[in-house]
Amino acid sequence: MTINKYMHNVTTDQISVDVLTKSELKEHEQKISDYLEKKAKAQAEAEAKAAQRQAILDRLGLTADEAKLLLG
Amino acid sequence: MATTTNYNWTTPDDTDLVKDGAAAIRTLGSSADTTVKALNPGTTAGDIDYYTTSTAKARVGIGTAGQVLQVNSGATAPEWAAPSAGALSKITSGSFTEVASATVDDCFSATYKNYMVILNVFSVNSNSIDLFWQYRYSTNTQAATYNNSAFGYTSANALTGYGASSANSLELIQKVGEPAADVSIMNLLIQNIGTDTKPYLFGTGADGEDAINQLRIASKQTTARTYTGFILTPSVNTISGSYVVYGLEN
Repeated sequence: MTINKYMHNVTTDQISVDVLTKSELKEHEQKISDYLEKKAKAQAEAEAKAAQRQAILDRLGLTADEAKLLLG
Repeated sequence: MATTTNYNWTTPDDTDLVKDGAAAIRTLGSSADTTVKALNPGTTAGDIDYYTTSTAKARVGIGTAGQVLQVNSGATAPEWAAPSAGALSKITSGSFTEVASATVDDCFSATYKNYMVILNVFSVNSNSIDLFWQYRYSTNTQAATYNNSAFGYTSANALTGYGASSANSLELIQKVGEPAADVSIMNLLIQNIGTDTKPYLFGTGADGEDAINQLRIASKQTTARTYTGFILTPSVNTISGSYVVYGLEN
């Protein structure tokens, strides 16, 4: 499967749709890999934080809404 | 000597001699010829005739492509001239289909300091795509020093936000819509651009997946350059969509 890039030069009004070169494709794949890694890390951190929060609520015997009311 | 009512052409008197008829006809014809030519001064295709007095006419030659007809500075005659830029001038527009990146070069220049960009973007591959913006200068991409913050109100009635400091790109939209019917729309105002400056970008919009109903974004590129364009890239897969760029009068 080929992946294309769109380029529009407004001065010349030239529009081109070209297949990514090997180096561009490698860069594109690396970018996706970095993005997915970053996203997975952020999700893991969010889940860990949520679990930590729930553990504290359980220890205190409060629901999330009750804690919110208390802190609000 | 008898004359005509409107143009005062000389005609033979009733008592003139028949032998002078040919000369009289020549004189009348010549007068008519001169008058008709004066009424039709054009010489070239595209000429427009206009009155210089209540009875005399002159020609103005055709202008060049894109020129418009206007009144001259003395308010005495029409002339062709380049149209003056309006308060909002369309610079360019275009559309792209399933691409890994969409680049628009040379849409920003010193002509304007501020621009409006309207984006409609969707994905045919996935609804988990985020959309990124980077500035272009000449044929290079600025891949550093983006400061941005965004917040929105989600479909679950909650505030949400994202942002970054000194990032390699600017995250415009999270969750670009998957089918064309769920297009993500953003209206961007880009200020302080086109010369060696640090541009600001302010945007409003909504993602196509209805995860964030309303989105506000503010960004500053902290490296000064003469930025001339932009590139849109998805986090994964490809994007489709369209763009329109307007220059705002300085």
